[in-house]
Amino acid sequence: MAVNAATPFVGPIRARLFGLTIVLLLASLIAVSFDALNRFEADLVPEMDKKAVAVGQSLTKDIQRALDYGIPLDKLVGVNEFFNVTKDSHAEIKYLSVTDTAGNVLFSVGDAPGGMSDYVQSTMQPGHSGVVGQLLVTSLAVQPSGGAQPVGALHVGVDQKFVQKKLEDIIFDVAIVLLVALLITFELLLFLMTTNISRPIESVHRLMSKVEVGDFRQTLEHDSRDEVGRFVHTLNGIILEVNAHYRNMEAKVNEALADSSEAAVQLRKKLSAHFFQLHDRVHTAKDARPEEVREKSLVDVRTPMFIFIFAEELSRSFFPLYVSDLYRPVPGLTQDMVIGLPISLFMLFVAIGTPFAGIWTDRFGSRNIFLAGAILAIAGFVGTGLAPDLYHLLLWRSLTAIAYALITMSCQGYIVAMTTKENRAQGMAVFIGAIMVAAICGTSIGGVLADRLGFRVTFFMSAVLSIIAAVFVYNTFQRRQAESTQAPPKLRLVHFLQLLGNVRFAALMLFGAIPAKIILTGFLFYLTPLYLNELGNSQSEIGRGMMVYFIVMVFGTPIFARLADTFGLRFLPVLVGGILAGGGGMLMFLWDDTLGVILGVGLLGAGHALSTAPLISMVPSVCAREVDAMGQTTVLGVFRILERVGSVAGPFLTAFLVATLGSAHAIAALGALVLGSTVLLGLFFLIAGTKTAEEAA
Amino acid sequence: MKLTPKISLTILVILAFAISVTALLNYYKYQSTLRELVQSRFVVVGLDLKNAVEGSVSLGIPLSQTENIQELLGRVKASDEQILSAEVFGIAGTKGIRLFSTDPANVGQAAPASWVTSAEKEDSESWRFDEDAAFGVGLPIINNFNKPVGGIVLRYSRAYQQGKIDAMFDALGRSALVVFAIACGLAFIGVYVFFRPISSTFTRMAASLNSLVSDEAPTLTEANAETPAEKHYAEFQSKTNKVLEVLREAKRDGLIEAKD
Repeated sequence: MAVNAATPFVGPIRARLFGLTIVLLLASLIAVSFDALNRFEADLVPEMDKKAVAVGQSLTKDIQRALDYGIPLDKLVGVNEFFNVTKDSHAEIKYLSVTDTAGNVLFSVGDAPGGMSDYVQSTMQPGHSGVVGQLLVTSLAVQPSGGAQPVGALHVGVDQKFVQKKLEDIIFDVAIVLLVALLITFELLLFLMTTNISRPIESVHRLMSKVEVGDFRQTLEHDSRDEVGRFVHTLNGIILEVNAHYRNMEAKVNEALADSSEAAVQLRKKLSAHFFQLHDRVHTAKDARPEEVREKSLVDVRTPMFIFIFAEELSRSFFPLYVSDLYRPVPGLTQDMVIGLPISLFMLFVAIGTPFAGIWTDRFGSRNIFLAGAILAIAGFVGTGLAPDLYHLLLWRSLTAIAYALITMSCQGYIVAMTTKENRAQGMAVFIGAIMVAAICGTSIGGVLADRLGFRVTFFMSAVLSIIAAVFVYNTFQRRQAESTQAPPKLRLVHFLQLLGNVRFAALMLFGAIPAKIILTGFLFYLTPLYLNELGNSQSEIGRGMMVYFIVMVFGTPIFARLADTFGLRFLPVLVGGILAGGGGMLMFLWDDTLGVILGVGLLGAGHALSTAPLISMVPSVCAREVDAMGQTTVLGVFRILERVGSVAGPFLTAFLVATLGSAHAIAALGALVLGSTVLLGLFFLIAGTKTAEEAA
Repeated sequence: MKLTPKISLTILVILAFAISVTALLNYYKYQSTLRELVQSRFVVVGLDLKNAVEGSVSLGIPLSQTENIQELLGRVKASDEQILSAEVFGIAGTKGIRLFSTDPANVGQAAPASWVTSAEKEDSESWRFDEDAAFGVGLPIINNFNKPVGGIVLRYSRAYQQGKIDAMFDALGRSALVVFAIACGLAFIGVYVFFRPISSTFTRMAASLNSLVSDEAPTLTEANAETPAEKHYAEFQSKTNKVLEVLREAKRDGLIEAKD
């Protein structure tokens, strides 16, 4: 993860370590779940039996009433219809039948298990239970009131696999735990491997290479007490010793040179013999104090960023539901709009705060700005968790949005400072990777936490995580940050006006970037939690459903980017991505249940995975003149800010659509909007081309 | 702390997290499944009662004057030791008053507002509620005009379910601990095997470097270096040793002060 190439033998060890952890995790979770299944079956089957008896007693009472009217058992009418209603009301009941005293089946619903007739012949004991095929069958006597002789028996068959099927529901939960555990494992091991092994080993190699050529001007800062730490300690000792001895000798040479006595001349001869052996071969620190260097790594920024985004994403799956709990009428806004308001406001403050955060990072350093952001985030999360009403919530979320802008910009600033133009893309990939992985983990775990601990406690947990991120940065980010090799661009209004004057750029924004953000915040962030909740899903299930977007993004983006690069495609992935994202929303016209929503979320993820990177890479090519005039970073900065118009508008527009069309059709309408704008984008560039004739020339 | 235990500890933290979360999810699933199962059993009992009461109401008898309800409630309570109480409350005209109850002291008392609200909901089939000592299910009583006129409530033992849930918690906790212990052992072995090369390389390099500091013959040389890191170290050592030898010679000649 360090910017420099990894030392050869660290890679295989890291791979084996990940392999070991994954195997151990899988084996442990399978063992725990298998044991749980066995215990549940042993414990729940008697309860199912009790329920079968209760259902049987209820049914026999109704049959008894008919018998008391003098209707013979075999002449009863509508029994199967009556049984069907009962069977359909209880998921675990798979078979119901009535037999006469001879064991002949008079009425039955559901598939009779093999061996049922043998079972019926062998038992007519009331309350008797037995396993027949896949069913646990409980039999009750059917008899008229007043202690008359039984005229038949009712058999209630319960699915023995019911418990197993119930447990299958949590396979998804366990799979998510596994995925999240693996992703967290990756982050933790990455951090541990980098700080304890890769980075020190690389540093040791680098330092040894320097010393080999006589450069004794640096020591390594490394305070661990492990094998590597002990080696570094001894190595530093040698470097210090050489520096001290050499400077000592140099001082004596100088003294001797200044003294013209015979003794001094002799001493000078002796010293020179030694000193000049080293003079051209050894470079020591000027004051005999070598510089103590600490190798920086992108992990320094990845880990706290991961923790903070994880904290922020914990509320992703329930935030609109939390807002609706605090709902209070706001003049001029519908209830749906009010629920979308905090998300829009958050996006707005992130958009406003980002340029300022960039400027402050340059002025005060990444460490200070991250810590300031963390303090605001902690206050924001605690305040959101305690918010008594909507207005307090808006205030605290705005504060959290500013914190978000400060923290993300400080991390970007840190990466810019420690990378060069050549490896900056790699640095930013690390940054974006941390955000996406944290989004997967945060969204899913947040849902589980909200389910078990409630919305407010989950916000407090976000605050605790922000403290951890702050402590991390306090200890790892350097107080005195190295200056960036490239001055950040200053965005001015004229840049916006110039770029919007480029009709190709305006079309790309209006038909590509802004609709993509509208559907992201409107469909995924705002409406998915509300609609999945409306469909009766638990918080865990909502978190799981939303996480699909981030999973598809994390795994799809690099694959699609590589394919686009291989085939030299830019515009086609943007179009196909737009069609997929729009199609995902429009799916609601056909399939407006939970599975449809999750599929829509997945298609949205696939669409964005396909189109996001090519869309950004199209910007320099449609703005070649502006890139020449104001620089690519400025052009992309304007692009980033303008696309946030979509993020702010998304929840509001969606709320309006929900009020007008209902949730499912609102999602479909958002899909239609994206699909329509993608078609317009395609037509526009088909007619206008991606470059002006002048630029093409 | 040495490298091997440090890495092992990290893996153990990850394993502890994953195993405990999985065990907890299993536990919660058991809890909800058991509760659903027991609740659905009492809903079946409640539905029987509801059919009987609605039978009387459909004959035009006001709910408060239906004579056999008290007897029915008593019979239902006696049929299952887990049932703590059974009650019928009215809505129309009786303003949420408990009309019949297996607990005579409750008759004439106001029913909780949440029961009345739940019974009044048009689409209500059944509802559930929690109390400190009991769980409960409620079912609306509907008249011939499809309007709710009251509700039936069954309260059943919480202690019974809690006992089973607690026992399951202990059992799942024990098995999670056993799995964790086994995984710990395997993790330690795996990490030891994978990290031995790095650990021993650095141990050998540090020992050799120490011998260099002590002006003794280095233990690791290009001849016995095994790994790429050791080979690089041996090269570094031979070059550094030349510098150190010059300095030591100067020191022996008294040209460098001993304190340095």
